[in-house]
Amino acid sequence: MRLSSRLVLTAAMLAVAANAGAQPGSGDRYSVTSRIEMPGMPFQMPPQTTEVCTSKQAATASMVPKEDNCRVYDFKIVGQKSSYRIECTGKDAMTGEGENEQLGATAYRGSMRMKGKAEGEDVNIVMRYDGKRVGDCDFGKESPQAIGAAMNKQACDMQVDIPGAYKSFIGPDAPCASQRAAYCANVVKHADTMSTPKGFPEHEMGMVWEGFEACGRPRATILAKACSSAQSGGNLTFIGTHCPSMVAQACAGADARRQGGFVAAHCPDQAKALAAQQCQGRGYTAMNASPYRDFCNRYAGQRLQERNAGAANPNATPDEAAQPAPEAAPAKPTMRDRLKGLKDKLGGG
Amino acid sequence: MRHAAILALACWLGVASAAAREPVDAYPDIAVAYWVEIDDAPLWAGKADQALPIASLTKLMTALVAVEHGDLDAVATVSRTAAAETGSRLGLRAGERIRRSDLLAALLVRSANDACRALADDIGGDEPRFVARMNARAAELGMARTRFANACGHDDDDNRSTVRDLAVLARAVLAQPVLAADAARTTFAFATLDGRRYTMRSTNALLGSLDGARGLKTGWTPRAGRCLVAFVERDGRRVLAILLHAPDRWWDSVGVIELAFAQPRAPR
Repeated sequence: MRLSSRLVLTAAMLAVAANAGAQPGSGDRYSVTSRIEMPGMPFQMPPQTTEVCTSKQAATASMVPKEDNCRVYDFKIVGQKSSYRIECTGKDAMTGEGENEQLGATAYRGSMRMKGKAEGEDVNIVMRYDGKRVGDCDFGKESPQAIGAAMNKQACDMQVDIPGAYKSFIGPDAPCASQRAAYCANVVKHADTMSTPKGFPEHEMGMVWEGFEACGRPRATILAKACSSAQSGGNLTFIGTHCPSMVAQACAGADARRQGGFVAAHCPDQAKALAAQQCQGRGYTAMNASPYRDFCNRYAGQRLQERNAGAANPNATPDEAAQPAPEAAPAKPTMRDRLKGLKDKLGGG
Repeated sequence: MRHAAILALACWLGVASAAAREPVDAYPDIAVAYWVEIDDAPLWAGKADQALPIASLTKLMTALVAVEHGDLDAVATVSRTAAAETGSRLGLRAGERIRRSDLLAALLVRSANDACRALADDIGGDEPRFVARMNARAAELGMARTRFANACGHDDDDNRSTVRDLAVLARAVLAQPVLAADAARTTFAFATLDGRRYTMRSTNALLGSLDGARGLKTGWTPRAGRCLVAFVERDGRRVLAILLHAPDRWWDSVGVIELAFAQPRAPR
């Protein structure tokens, strides 16, 4: 969802919460047009219109949508106007205030302002909105809260086939805990296809292992079967990646002329000796006729790592690694730069 | 309210910081400046924004401008200045008539300066006008620290680029099927319209030697040193490695490419 759409939805949710009770019946459908202003933004976002189903109840502080670490206070209704303040603590703490004014029986307008920090930079957002009643609706199914619950269910349904999504299904805070059984049934089915190397994905397993463990399929058990299969099938690539206890034996029997990649990556002593004999000191173009060409290609990476052992960790995130020379490091984008980038994103279609 | 607003902001800021992510300088000894990326995501780089002489890597832009100009079946007549080009050359003769597509392949495969100059003269009318188009195209691509002073990469204080800019150029070249195919040729042969035959072998030692190597361009001059833009594709993954002034460009590019492919695929 685009940023602008999210903010519009946010504005609409707040608007209907503060405006609740405008009409009798199951619910009132309002067309809400919102405008977002962010000081420092080098462009104006176009107004956005969305339809929202409102409650028939009278407005209360509890209707202001918020996170657990936020509190709404000073909620007041004076005549046709309601207002409140909101304070959120923790990371990216923000404060804000909002107001809403009923304009007869079928319209309202309002605004809200939020101020705080995001990634250490000041953020100010002002949202203004106008609502006009356009018909009836079923509040139980169409309210922002009901839509949110439906979206949560949809999100859980989408993840139930993803083994790595175990945190959504297992644990005290799992949002989809009610679907744990279905999730684990899928995970077990998936784990049972991995008794041979063929069943393993090319990408990193990552949290998939944790999903297997959580559903009663220990990693060690799965790997024991798959490694045994790899050994009997001579799959050295798999052994090198997943079966450390078998690597030494595999190295002893490996032929660097045919299995150069495995020897270079997993048999350091053997590779070093062989590289000294077959690779080092030779011009690259002279290797074309050598049966060790692939091995030497693979070993070139090992040599590079040894030579640059004192440099930045190649697997480090940029923040962890040594930074490039000053002239190479571009200035951190300012909020204005990001806003300019945002304009491209919003306008880019 | 705050939830959605913060979510939206975090999403946006997250995208912004990912876009600004800097590669780490993990292999500083392989070249004065270098850049390695996999599947268009930067992995490692050193002195990414330092403008340096780039020798015949210049011809990547020459080739791009030529292809984008179109009409590659047109016939060029080799000018005297083209025939007099120095450095790597085919030995073209002034007055010879050659298809632009053959000149294009020759400048990519053999890095032939006479073919390069003949193509630039033919398309641009003369070299300065062609170079102006190269600079305009560089600006369009956002290659902010790149400046071309000649069409073929001869040493000149004003003929420079950075590895970051060259990565942009390489991606643009690879997006042109004709160029991607020519840059991957290990050998090439053509005949002039007058019947004289030329055959050549690629200057890129990785082609045919390194699994998946598909190009892209070599370069060397006394001031630029040994330069290389290497492109390798394996199992649907693409590694681009750019080295400027690299003492051992073949072995070190191979090393860094192998290390790039050894990076695990991102979990799905």
